[in-house]
Parts: sequence; structure tokens; C-alpha cells
Amino acid sequence: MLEPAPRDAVLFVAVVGLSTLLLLVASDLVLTLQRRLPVGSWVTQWARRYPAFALALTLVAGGLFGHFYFATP
Amino acid sequence: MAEFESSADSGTPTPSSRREGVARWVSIGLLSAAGLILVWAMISAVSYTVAHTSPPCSNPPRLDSDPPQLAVVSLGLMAFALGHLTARWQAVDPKHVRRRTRASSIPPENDRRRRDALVIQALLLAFLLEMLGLLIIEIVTLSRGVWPITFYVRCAYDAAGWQSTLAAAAVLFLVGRWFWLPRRRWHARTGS
Repeated sequence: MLEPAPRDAVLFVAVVGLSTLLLLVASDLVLTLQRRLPVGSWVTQWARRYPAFALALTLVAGGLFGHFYFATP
Repeated sequence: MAEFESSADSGTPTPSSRREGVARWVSIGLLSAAGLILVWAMISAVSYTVAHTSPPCSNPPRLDSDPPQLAVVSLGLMAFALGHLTARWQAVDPKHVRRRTRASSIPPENDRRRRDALVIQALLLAFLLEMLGLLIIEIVTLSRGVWPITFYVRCAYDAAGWQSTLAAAAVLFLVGRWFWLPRRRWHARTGS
């Protein structure tokens, strides 16, 4: 049976993981309030410029999200 | 986008400009809500972890909780689609979508658009490096017999089902907003 990880490791992952997301949310909020191109537009421009990289990253990110969130017996 | 689409003679906003104004404020409201939910989730996780020595669920975490998994997945999919729609309907100031030309008179150090792009690309790079870090942590923990991140997500769902569902929906709203690419004709929609 697997054992829970050390407390410091859990705190590190929770704080770093959510803080990065919050930083991106704050950026998107500021860009939207100022009527400038939002984060999604920059991602779109990058993905249209490098479609192979975008596809590879999509597969990795999609796999990770499915792995973390989709609990099966 | 009233100031970009007012009729030239009367200054009255058109129905289209009002719709885009509503879309923009809906974006701002939902982004704020997603941010607040993530802050709430982070504070809850950190405060529990600091105050207790064991996780708030069984080992291994149960797979059934309230709300049921089908409801969680449905809410997540709706949030994902909503994120895409808010980004798609959101209009931007036309002056920020000018294409750069070779003869541009703005020096690179004074070009605000270029600075914006650098900041956003740096943030995205950090986000992608973090995904890589999470993947490595998942591999290392599993190989050493320690709970992987997956188990902590399941534990959160087991111990606080609705709060975890809201946090998952907030994350998926952001993913839909940032990573679901619009069709070409919708990209960089301006108020003009």
C-alpha cells in the first residue's frame, strides 16, 4: 500500500502549483480589464506558429489532466 | 466596447458593442470567481496540511463521494466550454491587434505589445515547466511507494467533494479559456 508523502512536499506542490495558475489568472484579468489581447490569444498565436509543438504539448497536458482527475477503480 | 463602436454622430453604443461589453464583464466576473475559488482551495489545503499530520481521507482514498463523479465530469466539461466561449466572445481594443510591419517606427524597447508578449510567454513557459515538474513528481512518488498527486486529488474529492468539484471546474474553465483555440476568423476579434 502507498504511504502519504512528507508534509513539506505536499505543501510545496500545492502552493507552487496553484500560485502559478493564480499568477496567470491575474495577468488575464489585467489584460481583459485593459482591453488588451488576453492570454488565450497569445497561446493561439504561438500554437499557429508552432503546430507540432502545440500538438505534442496538448497530448502531454491532456494525459496529465486525465491522469490527475479521472479516477477509475 | 462602447467607445470603439459608438455611432460617429450620436455616440450611442450599438447593440453589438453592448453585447461585447457584456461579454467582457462576464469574462472579468468568471475570471475573478475562478481566481477566488483557487485561492480558497489553496488556503484550505495549506491550513489543513499545516494543522494535521494525516490526510483527511482513507488510505487509499474512496472513489465515491458527494457529488457523484458523473456530476463532477459534467460540471468540468461545462466549465471548459464556458471558458472557451468567454475568450471567443471577448473583444479587444483594435490598437492592440495591429500586426507589426518591418517598417515599424516603434523601437523594440518601447513597443508595449512586444513587452506584453514577452511577459505572457514567460508565464506560459513557467506553466509548462510546472507541468513537467508535476509529471516528474508523479513518476518519482509512484516508484518510491508514496502517494502520487492523483491520490491527493482523490483525497480532496473524498474529504471535500463540492469544494474539490468547484476547484476542478475553475481549473477547467481556465484551460478552456487559454488552450481551446478559436477558429481563425474568430481569432483576435476586435471591436471594429
